Amino acid sequence: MRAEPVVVERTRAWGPPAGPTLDPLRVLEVLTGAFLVAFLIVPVGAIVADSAALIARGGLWEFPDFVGYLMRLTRNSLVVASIVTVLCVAVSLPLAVLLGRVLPAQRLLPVALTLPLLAPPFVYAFATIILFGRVGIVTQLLAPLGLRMPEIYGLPGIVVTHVLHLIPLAYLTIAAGLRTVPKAIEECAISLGSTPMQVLVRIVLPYISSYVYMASLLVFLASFGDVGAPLLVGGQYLVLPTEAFTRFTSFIADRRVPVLLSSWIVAISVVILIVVRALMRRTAIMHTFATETYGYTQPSWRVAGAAFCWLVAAVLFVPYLVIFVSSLATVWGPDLLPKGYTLRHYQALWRSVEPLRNSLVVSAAATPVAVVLAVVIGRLMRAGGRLGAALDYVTLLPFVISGVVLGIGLVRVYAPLDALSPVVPLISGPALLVVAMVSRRVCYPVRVLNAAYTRIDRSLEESSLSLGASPATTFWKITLPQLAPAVVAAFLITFIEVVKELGATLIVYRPGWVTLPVQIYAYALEGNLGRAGAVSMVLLGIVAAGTLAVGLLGRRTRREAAA
Amino acid sequence: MTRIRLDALSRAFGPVWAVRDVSLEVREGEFFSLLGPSGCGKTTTLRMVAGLERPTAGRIFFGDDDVTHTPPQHRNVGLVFQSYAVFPTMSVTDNVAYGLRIRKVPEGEVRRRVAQMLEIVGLAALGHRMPGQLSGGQLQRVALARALAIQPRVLLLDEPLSNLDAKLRVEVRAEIRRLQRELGITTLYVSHDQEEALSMSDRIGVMHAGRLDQVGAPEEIYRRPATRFVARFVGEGTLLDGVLVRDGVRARVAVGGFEVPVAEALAPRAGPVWVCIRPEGVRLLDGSAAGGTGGVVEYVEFVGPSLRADVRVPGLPRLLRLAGSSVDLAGRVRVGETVRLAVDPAGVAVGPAEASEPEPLAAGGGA
Repeated sequence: MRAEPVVVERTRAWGPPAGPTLDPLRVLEVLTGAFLVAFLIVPVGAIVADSAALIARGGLWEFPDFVGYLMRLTRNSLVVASIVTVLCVAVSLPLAVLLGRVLPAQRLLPVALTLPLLAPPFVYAFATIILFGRVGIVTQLLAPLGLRMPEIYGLPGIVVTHVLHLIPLAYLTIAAGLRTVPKAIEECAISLGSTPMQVLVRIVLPYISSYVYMASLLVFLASFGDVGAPLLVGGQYLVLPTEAFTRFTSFIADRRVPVLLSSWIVAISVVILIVVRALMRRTAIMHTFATETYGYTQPSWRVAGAAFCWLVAAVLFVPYLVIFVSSLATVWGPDLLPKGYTLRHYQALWRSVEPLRNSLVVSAAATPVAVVLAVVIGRLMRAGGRLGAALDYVTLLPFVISGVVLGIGLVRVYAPLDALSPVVPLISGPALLVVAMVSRRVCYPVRVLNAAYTRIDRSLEESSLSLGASPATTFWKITLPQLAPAVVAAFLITFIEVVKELGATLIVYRPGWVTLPVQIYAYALEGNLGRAGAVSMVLLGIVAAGTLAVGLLGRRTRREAAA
Repeated sequence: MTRIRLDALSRAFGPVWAVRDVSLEVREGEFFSLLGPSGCGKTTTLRMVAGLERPTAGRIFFGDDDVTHTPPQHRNVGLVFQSYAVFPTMSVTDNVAYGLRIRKVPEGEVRRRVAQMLEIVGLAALGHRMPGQLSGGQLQRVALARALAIQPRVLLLDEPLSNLDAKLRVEVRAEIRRLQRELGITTLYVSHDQEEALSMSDRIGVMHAGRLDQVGAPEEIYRRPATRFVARFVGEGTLLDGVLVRDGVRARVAVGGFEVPVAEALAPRAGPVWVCIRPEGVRLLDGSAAGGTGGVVEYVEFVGPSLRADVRVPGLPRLLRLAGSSVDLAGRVRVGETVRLAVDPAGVAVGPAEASEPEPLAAGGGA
């Protein structure tokens, strides 16, 4: 019998689907690029170009001693930022070492120490007034001891406010560095005969120096660019961002001075960024996160260390307490404690909810835009190359320079084009405020998504492409689901940062679009500390809720990753 | 040079005993290996000797000095880790000089000693290099030079070869052994790699679930494993459970329908036993020869100089592994073919059956 031949049924060969003529990803990339150019590069570029033109024309010849004025401001700004940086690092370094190496079982302290990051710096500024002002609590406590509090308005006020507010930033950065030092390194050093102190100084400190530089950079630029604290507690001590702001918004609007000051701020910030980045690159060690870190068990270190950490945490917490009490006080001062307690500051808020509404609307509008931009930017940065490097610097720019500068740039470019606003609605009114928030804070979601992109296995996307999916489909079905937790985190973090923003808002906002930070600033400026406290509590509530959500989300993601 | 003595050393992490009642002595100038699977407590033992881990109970002596409570920086031990732990912020020279400078040795003497150490480990030309510019093998030599530069009382090596590739591992292995012999330094070596331990050590301690199962010279450990675990962990072979029977002078282990001859000198009392047939104990008989057992070759592995094969023998619950020179066995073992085998009692280890293999122990109620 003949065997039946095997019949292989040949179906039609399905070639890969023909791609769409217009790649949606490409469209998004172009839109993102256009946004960055229009609302970041052009505004900053415009004030730099204006300044160059101004200098070429002979500068501000009618302005008496402009160079002297500029140098005085520059010196003041650099002095503030330098003192703040040194103090913050000096406190944060032992904090990080103690919590990372000596008191590893502490759970509450690391959280307590990051509390100040919840509040915007100007909220801390008005706590500084309540504490150290002319009738401040500390001032009154010291008076019976024959100690007179030095005048707080001026350099001391700015420094105290910034240090209290920025210690967590330095602490978190240095603590991250300490987590990269492998246990074996310190154990070897110990067994070679070094004392624990010698190990810290000779081995650990050099190992994490790039993180210490990073911490210094972050603190320095944050202090250098801040406008809120110097406006409230700076007194006659003028710094670059406050001068740029007051001159830009004053009635005699000579915009040449603030524009020149702004480009000067850009120049200094960028130079510092480049120098410190070079320093960091030179000292960076190929970091792998150590699975375990060393622990020092000296009993004396433990006791003194715990005392030090709790003291710092307590000091950092005092401003919150003060703000809370002031929000409930009828009148506070000249007595030590409020004369009475009331809820009327909160009731007043209830009667005018516009600032709250405005803050929420602006943040809710700006956040999704910033996150979408960040998703697109992150994808481009992952591709690397020149474009990636350029994007890295462009998105870092608004983080590095003062919010005031970005605001001035935006108004400088788009206010004259106001007539076009019916055609291009983005460039005026509340829309411009949203745009300013996106530009100013887009660096936060970019960093979050950047980290998430690097964790994605490229071969998954390559598999999808080789199976015939278009780049857009691959992105939608493969990449985006993996980014999802990071996208949610980026959402919350961006929202928190936008809702706190003061510098750019002060320049760009229009009457009727007062936000919570602007309102706090206005109340604090007119000395209405009760109202300012109540608004601050609302703002803090929003930020705390967002931060809590980020924390819970992070914990869930980690648990799922571990499972 | 110092001997190391551990006296009933124990360490508990929470409710789990990582190390339980380990007593041993590393003699002066001896190269002693702690061998065992990961999690057996060998590294914890070494860390207690270094002073990096506090014993829960027991004592540690260097010579006659009780160092149980001496902090690590005062123990004067040379420590080398798997991860090298070379200080990345210092040059090779500064790394090796580190311990000497901590000891405030005069700089001239430091330079002389460092040069000498780098010479010994073959890195004399690379003193100015930073660790980032070195290969793994070179980094491990720096770590070794750094540990030896302080002229430690004892040298402690924690899996120092595990991050190196196979070829380099054999090279550095020989080098460590040569150095150790030349300097005559008492050395405690921790490894999970039996080949490493067997080839380098004067004596080996096999650890299992926190306890020390057996201490002995490499050959003794291999030929006469004290426990079923040691038989399985050290060397390869076919491990079976059976019953020891004697008739007159000959001892045999009955496994199913199969009988394994064992050397009378090694045999325990009659009764349930485990038995381990090493590959070299299985002889391949010529097709024409009488006797032996028939079996079908199921798997052949060619590894250059030698050849390994697994043979299914009727009545045996496991495949019987044999090994031999690839020249001798060439053409004689092929998958699917029948071969005739005989077991040589010289290649068989045997021991009394244990109640059950101890699992990693949780601390008892009283501890």
